[in-house]
Amino acid sequence: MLRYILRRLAIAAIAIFVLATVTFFLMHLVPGDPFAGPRVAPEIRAALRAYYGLDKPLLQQYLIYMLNLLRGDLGLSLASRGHEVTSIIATAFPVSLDLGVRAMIISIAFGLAFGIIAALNRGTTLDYLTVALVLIGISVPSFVLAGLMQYYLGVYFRILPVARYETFWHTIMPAFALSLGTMATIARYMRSSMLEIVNADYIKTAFAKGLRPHQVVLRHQVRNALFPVLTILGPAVASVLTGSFVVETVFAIPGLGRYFVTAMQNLDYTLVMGLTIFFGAFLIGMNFLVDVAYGLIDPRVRIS
Amino acid sequence: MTSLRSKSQMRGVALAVAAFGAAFVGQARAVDKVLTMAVPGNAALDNLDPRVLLSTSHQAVQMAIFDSLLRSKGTDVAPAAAEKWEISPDGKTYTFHLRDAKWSDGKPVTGQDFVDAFVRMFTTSGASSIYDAIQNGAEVRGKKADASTLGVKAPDDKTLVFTLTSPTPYFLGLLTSSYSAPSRADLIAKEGDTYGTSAQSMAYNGPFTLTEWSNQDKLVLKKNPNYWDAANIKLDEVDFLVLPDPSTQRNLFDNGELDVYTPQTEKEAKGYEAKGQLLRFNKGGLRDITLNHLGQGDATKAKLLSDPNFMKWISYTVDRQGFVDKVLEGNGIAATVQTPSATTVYPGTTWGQVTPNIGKYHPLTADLAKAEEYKAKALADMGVTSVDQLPPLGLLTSEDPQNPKLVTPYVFSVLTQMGLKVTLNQQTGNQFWNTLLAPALGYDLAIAGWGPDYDDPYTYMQYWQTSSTDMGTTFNNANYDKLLQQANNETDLKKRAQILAQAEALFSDIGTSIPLLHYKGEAALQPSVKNMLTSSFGVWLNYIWVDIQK
Repeated sequence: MLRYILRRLAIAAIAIFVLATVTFFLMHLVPGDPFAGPRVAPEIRAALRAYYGLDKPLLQQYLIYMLNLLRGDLGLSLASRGHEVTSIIATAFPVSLDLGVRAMIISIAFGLAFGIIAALNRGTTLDYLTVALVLIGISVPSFVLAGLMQYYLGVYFRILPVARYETFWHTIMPAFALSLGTMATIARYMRSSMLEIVNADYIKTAFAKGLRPHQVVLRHQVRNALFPVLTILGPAVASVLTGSFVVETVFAIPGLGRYFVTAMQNLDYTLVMGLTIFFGAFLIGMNFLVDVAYGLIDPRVRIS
Repeated sequence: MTSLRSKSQMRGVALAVAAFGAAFVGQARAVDKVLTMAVPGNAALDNLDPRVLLSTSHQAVQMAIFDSLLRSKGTDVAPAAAEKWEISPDGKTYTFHLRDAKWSDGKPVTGQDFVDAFVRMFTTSGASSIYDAIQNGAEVRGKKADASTLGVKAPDDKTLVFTLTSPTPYFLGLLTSSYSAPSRADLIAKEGDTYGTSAQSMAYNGPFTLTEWSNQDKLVLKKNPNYWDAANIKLDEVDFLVLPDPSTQRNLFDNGELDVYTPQTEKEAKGYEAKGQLLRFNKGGLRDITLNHLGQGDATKAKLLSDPNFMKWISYTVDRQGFVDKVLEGNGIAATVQTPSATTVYPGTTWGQVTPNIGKYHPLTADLAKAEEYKAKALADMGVTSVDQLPPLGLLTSEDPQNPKLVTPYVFSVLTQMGLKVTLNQQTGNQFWNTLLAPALGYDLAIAGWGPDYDDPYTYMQYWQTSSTDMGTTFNNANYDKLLQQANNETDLKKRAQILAQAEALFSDIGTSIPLLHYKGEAALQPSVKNMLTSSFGVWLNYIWVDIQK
């Protein structure tokens, strides 16, 4: 197991190195200057470029960046003047994480429940209703849902706070808006994988043994159906936990999601790099956890 | 032992009574007056050092936490850190006498703090060129002169002297911006890059101090009891919330959680107007079509784009008044010159009363007969017989908060109706500036414009000079430069106005800009918000003297 983990870590390090290198050069291929703007005197722009080392040859910039990266130094943001990339991530990520965890709990709980209910009631109204809900969940963009919820629950009926991230009540709407897409995906996977194994030999055996239906469903069917769902959970968790541009913008939540868009718009090279590396590492970490979780659910993985 | 305990019990009772009393008094006292607004520009501010970032969004906070030499109060210039001042007869020397004032950390505000601020501005700030009238300003920025030669001197702690290269009638207006707020060299040296990024890194001398700042979320400003004019500051606290989505702002405003909201459409504005919550004001600013006389290095395009007949062909096809009335529903002023009519040119007189150029070079409504004449001339100039033979052109546009969403489709439709082959190039964020500005100048036609830095026509005219590359301007005309120079050296303000009008006529005739409209400003306010002042340049909404009356 230890050798397995070490190998995975080595692969992760290489993946992040490749990711950083490709992003670095791709980003610098985008034409333009991060310090461009109206009323910026050319001398000042040149001075700023020199200060942030952008006047050096690209290869030299790359080497400096990579050496700094090894020391854990992601540099100063170019657009958020005076703010370090690490401190931006350290301030914003916990907020996104908090929201993401809430959203993930909602997605998993409701997603699995919907999937199981639909599968067990296959072909009935309940099934179609769930499938319709799932379809809506996947196809309605979060900004539409977020905007509608904000207006009706926040302004019209005044049940929940309109925006910002302060108390538990503030977290409900954004967490729900963020969870919907993942919830629908989980429900869909759960339903189809439940149905796939409904005729499997071990299910028949379980019934033959004389187990009650709920015992068969919980111990055998659900447990085995979780597998494919677990596979999609890694990337889903990574993307939900690192924040959403739309949900964070609509609900004015000071999370990481906003930066993914604005950093590139501002040509904030250091922040783009920092976010890419952070997200890459997080994604790899999540996939690793999923692999470990496989072992917990499926004894065959542990043995091999 | 016993007596000791009873004593402490007694004290406990006394404390409880005192606490109860205090709570009671606290309840009886008037509730704190708090004004809650969205951070302008709908994004976090990142850095509040006026010498690092100075957009109008930053200034909206900086104006409260720093006291500049002067302050704009409605249309007036009011004394602030400077108590009084003298201007020499030749208009080139300004002497300011400073008030006794203290920084929030207790240090006295000195003349040297202002000198430091201006030196730092010329060496670190992009926009310092608007102050180039200050002797050696441009040289210090270009590192061609030592900072000690800058025309800003503090002969003593309470005096500040500016030496200008030319009489600059709008100089007092310039000093109302946060640029003229004093600076703390000692704190900058101590904090380095992080100076200006947190509430603790700075010291304040304004009517408010910044007490709490979580960059992406919220800023809290508390009244500064030591401010010289504290008696006239009614607010106890100003909260700025980072609210990136305007619809969120509207929802919060409708719920009463936000005191100020800028309507996004005229329809929305009219809704608030019907409820008596709308404040309309003169905002200044220009939206235009900018032509690239250099044609991105393509000789044919350069010839076409710098042909005044081509420029006027477009201009006479545009129906400014119709667009403002029908599409913008009256939320704008059709513009036939770049400087808004309401701009002050000298005390008591506006540009609209002085300039003979309104409607002369660019029409208020479309004049298709004239457009045909210019079309024929333009085609002849190009040596072609039909529009199809003209080179295809690109129209660069952005997602500017000043809502070109409505302007771009209109301009695009005008250009395509003319039979021109036009491709739309919409860019976001910094990419727009990277494409528009030098060195790229990567546009043929651009939906651009200008926001004024001070209340004088010169702010709308200076960036067309050959020496300027601002807004991607490609107008290079020695006569124009000469006229502006002449205006700068003229001490008779009426004569100066005439020279500026000549310059405007020259530019309108052959220049790089087709004016479209000037902006109107509007803001929805909660009924309890009283005395919100507005300005036609810089920060539009001035909340410093606001009172909350519930």
